[in-house]
Order: sequence, then C-alpha cells, then structure tokens
Amino acid sequence: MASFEKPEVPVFSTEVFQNEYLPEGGAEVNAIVTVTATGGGTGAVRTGAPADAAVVVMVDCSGSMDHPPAKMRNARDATAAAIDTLRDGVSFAVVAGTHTAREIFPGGGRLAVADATTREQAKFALRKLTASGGTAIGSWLALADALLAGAGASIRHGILLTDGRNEHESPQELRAVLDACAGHFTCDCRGVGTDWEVKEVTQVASALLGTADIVADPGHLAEDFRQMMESAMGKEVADVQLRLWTPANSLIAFVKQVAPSVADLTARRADVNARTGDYPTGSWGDESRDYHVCVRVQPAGVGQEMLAARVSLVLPSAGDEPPRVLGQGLVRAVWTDDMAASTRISPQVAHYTGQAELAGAIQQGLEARKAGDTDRATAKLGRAVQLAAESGNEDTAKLLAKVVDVVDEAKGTVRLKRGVADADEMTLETRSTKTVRVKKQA
Amino acid sequence: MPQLTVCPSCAEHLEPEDKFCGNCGAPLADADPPLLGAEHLTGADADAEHLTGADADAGHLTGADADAEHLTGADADAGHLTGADADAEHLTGADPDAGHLTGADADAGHLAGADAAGAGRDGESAFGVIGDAPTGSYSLAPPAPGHPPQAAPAPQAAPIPVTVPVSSSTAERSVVPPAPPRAGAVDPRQGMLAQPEPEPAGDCVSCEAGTVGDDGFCTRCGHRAPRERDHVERQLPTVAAVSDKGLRHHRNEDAFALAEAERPDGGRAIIAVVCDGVSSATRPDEASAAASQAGGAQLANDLADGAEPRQAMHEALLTAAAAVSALAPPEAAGDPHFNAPACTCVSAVLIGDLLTVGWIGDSRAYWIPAGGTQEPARLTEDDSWAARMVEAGLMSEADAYADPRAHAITGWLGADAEELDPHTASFHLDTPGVVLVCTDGLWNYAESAAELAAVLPSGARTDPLGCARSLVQVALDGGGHDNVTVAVLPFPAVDGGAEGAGERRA
Repeated sequence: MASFEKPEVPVFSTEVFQNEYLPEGGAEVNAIVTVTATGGGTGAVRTGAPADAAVVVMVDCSGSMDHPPAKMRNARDATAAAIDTLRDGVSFAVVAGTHTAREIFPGGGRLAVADATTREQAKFALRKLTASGGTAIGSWLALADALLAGAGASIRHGILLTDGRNEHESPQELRAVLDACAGHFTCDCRGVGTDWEVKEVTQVASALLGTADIVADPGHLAEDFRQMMESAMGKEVADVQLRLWTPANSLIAFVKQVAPSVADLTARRADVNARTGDYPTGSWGDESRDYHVCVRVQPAGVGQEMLAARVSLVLPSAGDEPPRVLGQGLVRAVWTDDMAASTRISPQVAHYTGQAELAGAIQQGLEARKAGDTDRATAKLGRAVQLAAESGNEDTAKLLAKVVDVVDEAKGTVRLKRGVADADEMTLETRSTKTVRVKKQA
Repeated sequence: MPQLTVCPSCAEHLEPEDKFCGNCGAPLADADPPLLGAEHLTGADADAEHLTGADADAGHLTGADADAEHLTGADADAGHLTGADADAEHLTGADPDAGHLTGADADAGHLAGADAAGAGRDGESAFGVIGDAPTGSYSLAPPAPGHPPQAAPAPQAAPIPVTVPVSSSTAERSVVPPAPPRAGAVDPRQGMLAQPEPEPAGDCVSCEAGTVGDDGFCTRCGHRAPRERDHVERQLPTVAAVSDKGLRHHRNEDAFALAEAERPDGGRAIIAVVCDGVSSATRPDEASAAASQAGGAQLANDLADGAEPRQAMHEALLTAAAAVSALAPPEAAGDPHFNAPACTCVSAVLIGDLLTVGWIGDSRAYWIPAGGTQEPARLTEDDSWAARMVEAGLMSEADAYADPRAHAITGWLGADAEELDPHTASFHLDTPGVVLVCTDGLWNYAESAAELAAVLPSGARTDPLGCARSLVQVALDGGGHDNVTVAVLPFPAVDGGAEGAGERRA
C-alpha cells in the first residue's frame, strides 16, 4: 500500500567509550562516540514513499578521457548504471565536465524526476558525453550546486568522476567553490585511471562530506557507480550536525570522524554559542560512525566530577523551531587518586588513536617516497605496516604490501619496493584513511 | 527607575508596562535592586554597549554578578574566573544589544535570573530552603555573602527536613543540602574557586556563576552538582546518622537506614543499618542503598512482629544480601570478569537495654560509655584479611593493619560472595553511653574504641545528630579519603524532644 508520509527518519543512538578517570592534575579527556542510525531504508524495498532526494552526476569529458577510448565508453556505461539505480521520484541531472560545465540532461537549469521514461531519455542523452577540452572541477561543482539549489529536496547529493588533474582553474578557485558548496550538498568522488591527483579528489570529497576512491580499471566503473548511487539512495536524513558542548575554560583539542574513515572535523566548527559548536556530518542512512573527541579541561581536585563534553546529533530546523536532537552522549571526567583507574586506557580510544596514526604514517611515507627521502619513507611505511597489523586492518595491510616488502610485520621492518605500479600507490594513498572498528574484546 | 527589557529569571522579552514576566511570571519589581547594581557597575547606564565594554575587562566585575539584565551570565563568568576567560572573548564578539546577548546565550539569562530572584534579592542565608531556587533544579544555595565557602559555618541552624516514621516502617531518607566544606580540611574544590565574591551568582557550587542543568552538571563549568547522597543527614528521636562522600571520592557509596519499631509488648526497637559499597565492584552505590533499605525494612517488620532480636538480625542480613545479589544481571552469572555489585553491612538494634549487632564485612559498631565508668569497646570483628591474620595468630595487630592487604575484605554482600556468614551478637547495657555504627571511612581515622571515645563530643547522648556530624568532621579533618558514615544511638534512648531533634512524637 502506498504511504504518503514522509520517509522515516532513522533512530540515532549514541554510545560513549572512554576512561573517565583522570589522575590528579590530568586535563585531557578522550572519548570515542559511536553514532548508529537505524530504521532508515537502506536495503529495504521502498514502495510509494515519495523520494525527497536530488542527485547530480558530473562526468569528466576532458580530452584525456579518450585515452584509451574505452574510458569514455566506460564512463557512459557507469553513468547509465547509476541512472538505473535511481529510485522513482528522485530528481536528477547529468553534467559534462571540461574546462566548463555543460548540462547534458535534462537541461534548462532544471532537474528531471526519475521514472521509466526520464531514465531512458537520460541514458539516450549520454551519447552527448564526448571527450574534448580541459578540466575545471570547480565549475562542475558550481553548476551542480545551482541545479540542486533549485530542486528543494532535503537530501542533495553529487557524484563526480574525473580522470585528470584540475588544470584549468587555480587551487584557490577550487577552494572558493568548495567553501561555497559546503553544506549545500554532499558529493562522492572517483578518480579513474592513474593520471589524477589524489589530494584534489580527496579534498573535494572531504569538503563535501562524501567518499573518495580510485577506480584504476575503467571497466569497474559501472559497478562502482551503481554502488555509489545505491548508497546515496539509502540516505534518509541530511545536514546532520555533531553538536559539542564543552565547559567554560576548556579547549577542544580535536574532533575527528574515525570510522569508517578518518576525517578531521576540528576546523569545521560553526559556533552555536559560547560553549557549543556544530560540526557537519552530512547525510545519514542506516549506518554507524565513530568520532574521537579530545577536550582539555581545567583539572579539578581528586573526587570531583565534571562533564567534559556533551555530544549530540542535531538536525537543524527551518525557521524558529529549536533544532531536533537525534541522540546524545556524555563525556565525563572524574579525578581520582586510584592509579589503577586513571592509568587504564580505553580500548576504543587506543584503537582509533592508532588508526589515525596509521593514516598519517601512510600519507607521510608516500610523500617522503615521492620526494626521494627513502629513510623517512621506510620508517613511516614500516610504522604503518606495524599499526595495520596490530589493529587488524587487513585491507590496508594488503595495500601496503604492494608498496613495501614486509620483513617483520610486528616490528614494522620493511623495504621499499622498486617499480611500484602507480595504481597501487594511488590506491594506498586514497584509501589510507579507511579504518577498521575495534575488535570485540574476548 | 530603570526599565527592564528582559525578564531576569527567564530572559523573556518584556513590554515597558509589565509588572510580571509574561513567560515565567516572575515579579519584575523585585529585580530592580540588582539592576541598580548594574548601573553602578557600568557607570550610569545599564546600556548594553557599556556592558560589553565592561565584559572585556573581567577585573571590573567583582561583585557585579548578581546584577542585571542578562548582560551578565557572561559577566558573572568573568568575575569568578581564575585564569584566562573564554567567555569574555565570546562576549565581545556578541551583538552589543543586551537582549540579543541573553538570547544568544541561554546560560546568561538563566543565571542572571537565578541571582536576581534568589541570593541577590534578600541576602539569603547560606542554606536555602529546598525548592527556593527559581530554577527549581537543585536545592543548594550559594554560601552566604561575606563568607568564603571554605570557611562557612556548619549548618547547625539550617532547617533539616526530618521524617519521623510510623512505627515498624523504614521511612524515606530525608536529605539536607550538603554542608559547605569545613574549616581545617583541605578541600580539593578550593582549587576551582576564585577569590570568594561577596555576592555569588549561579547555583553551581564549583564556579558559582553557572546554573545546574537537568543532567546534574553545571551548564557553564561542567562540574557535577552535589548529589543528594553526597551528604545525607537524618534523625529520628532516638537515633541519628550522617553520611558524607568525603574529600577524595567522586560519589558517596555508603548508605544507611534508620527506623523505629514498636514491639508487641509496647517496647520500642531502635534500628540503624550502615552499608559501605565495595569500590572495586560494579555499581557499589546501588549495592549499599539496596542493602540498607532492605535490611532496615526487614528488621523493622520482624521486630514489630515480636521476633527475637538476634534472629531478626540474622534474617535481615540475609535479606540485605539477597537485595544486593538481585542487582547483578542474570546474564553475568558465572562470568568471572564481571564484578557483581557488593557492599558491607552493619546493623544495631536497641530494645530497652538489650543491644544487638550484626554485620558482614568491615563496617563496625562500637560502644562508648559515658563518664569513663567503663572501657569503650568495639562490638564487631571485621571480615578482613588483617582481622583473620590476627585471629589466626599469624601476625600482630600492628603488623597486620600495616600490611597493604589489611583492608581486603573476606566477607561481603553480593552475588559473588563466596559464603554468606552473618555475624550477630547481643549485649546488655548497664550504664549510659552511645552506640556508634560506622563505615571504615570513620574508623580509619580513629581505629580503636578508645580513640573514638576521645573524639566523641560531649553531649553526644543528648544530641546524636550533632555527635554524628562531629564524628564525620573528624574523618574529613583527617583527610576524608573514603566515604564516611556514622549512626549514633544514645542509651538510654532519648525520648522525643532532645534539642535539635526534628519533630516530636505525638
């Protein structure tokens, strides 16, 4: 039976993992906050619920997409697969990106509403995706922003495919567009082949709270696009903010998403009032994410207890209504002279501290390798191998093993490989921020 | 007369003619004196721009906290802060319009309201009556003007809500606001306090500027507001007890219950139960609360039914133990890593001249006779490692208690108790004195009966509550390393109208 109610907003639950006990004079409070959204629609067959979502697919059509010619064809097929995955009722558009951005479908500054007819029309229009021209990613995003702004949908999402460097605009221009678009829509980014710049693509994804990945083999694009669109269709609620209250005279050392990937949100705070700030988390479907919050408080005396942070997930509302609180967790500090209590380390905090270090070690190691600093590269990537092994991050360990020869995993002894494939190095770099969750304690 | 633009209690915007706040109903005339304070503070005008200027300079704000319009949740912060003031920054960045300022920071309006309507208005005494605070969220009012918090007098004259139970029931525990930190004791909270202000602001005892939120934490400095259990005093006509969390623990894991029961023969049974949660266990505070309630209720019931006191005592300890065991989740049964809730328990029952004590663990009962006619005596034997060593003749008492393992208890109430071995004993009292029932938080500072006798205040028999307070103070002065609880039963039982007792019995 058709339901005309608004799609169900998932239920958010928050769990805080920490060792709240601090020694006398201790000031740093660490906590992992696990936020889980359930009851949304991912995977479930939805019938009749009007889809309050809009998606713009941006396809790189620069000249390089014709080398090899299969790349452009694969991109067309992938876009078609994404269009097929659109739920009925979702607004969508396709943009061809070169040194400028061009509407391919439906055109006229509008979005089409997905149904059998519009899907066919869109796929037919994809023949207009031809390779010639340069690359100015900022212009693509600006057009997507304009299109999505007119849609009035609550879930606004972009999918961006590029195969080359952002050569036809300055980094400042791209930065300015990203700043302008941030919070307007979310965007997943893919680099196809190996001629694109990892930092550019991850920068876009991180600014727009989406995922970034490499599709080294253009033949895999269609499956990847289908999955990306599926995940976009599973989003139930957009613009969720991580709201952090901290006491007077405290300092927020950092706020990071640490699972499913590392993303530092510290600098993205928007002050709500003197002691409260919001950090963007984008849109949510049925999923679980972990955040690491580190606050420095004024130490109090032994026996005192303090609220070091109140972490909530809020949904800003239009107009004068107060924002809706979706879930809340308390981060506490208790000062004790019991050494056994204060020296205990929360397994979750330790694990994610290691995962964040792992991401950093990979990035620094690859940078040093590119710069020809073999010693530093060996040390950093060795440390990464050790951390990946300790934490059971097998995917990252496998990627590392394509870049270094592992001599002793536990000690982190490695040798840099010669003749590493570009695809392997770029895959490692793009996926360096992927984390695994804490293994269940026996 | 200057005109308020927002309500000092709830920060609601006001019309010029309003006499009461349209939102919370607070009378607005009363708020005038604080407003005058604001004028004083800023020169001639409660104009917000002046205030903003003043905010940037925390030093100007001494004593201004109780003032005014909104302005000043943030000001209040500034005045009280030690060290750098984050709030001043925020404030300077804020809209210079006072109304906006309040709107922007809920703390501010709330705070100013609390002051204006509470302490600031009539110079309230150190202890507000419960429910007096306009926020209604917590009963503790700030210390009296002119008294630094750490030197405030003990609340002898404070109104103490006392519930006199009907016979044979365990009355609800009544609670008074926590006593201020005592003179002489080093209060770790001191470090958080700035120089005491003549007119403190919010109801948070830590920063004195913030208000306590619904979750029990100050909305400004984040400190946990004192909880009801942090300091509990109760008295019945014949028995009184005080429990305090001490100076080094973050919560009170001790608990007690007092009751009186009428015996079938018309006599009266006076009951005190004291429990100490095992810190290394899960939820020890719940364990002690459950044990004391269950044990006290069982004793009152059985004794009212005419049960033989030692038998009743034995049953009550088993009942208390069952109540604690019930706290352990069934799924944790058999899990060696799960530390089930656990506590000790010691009870005393006085019927006529017959004193019966019962215990499990290392909480104790003492008999302190008046006037030196008899030797004071400890009436219980600890279930502890040290006591076992001494008992077995393996170590001298001095050596055993000096051992790090001395305080490890060998008997407790809880799902993981190896064997439940309630100890009971009865004594006939033939000379006036007091029975003390206490946790190790007290006897760690006066271990032997003679030492306790030495610190017992004169008049203990006529003022058991004062005596209990005084003994708790001994522990706090000694360092207050643990939660402290002591119940005092005078013998012969005082009947009704002792000085300082709550209500008289009809």
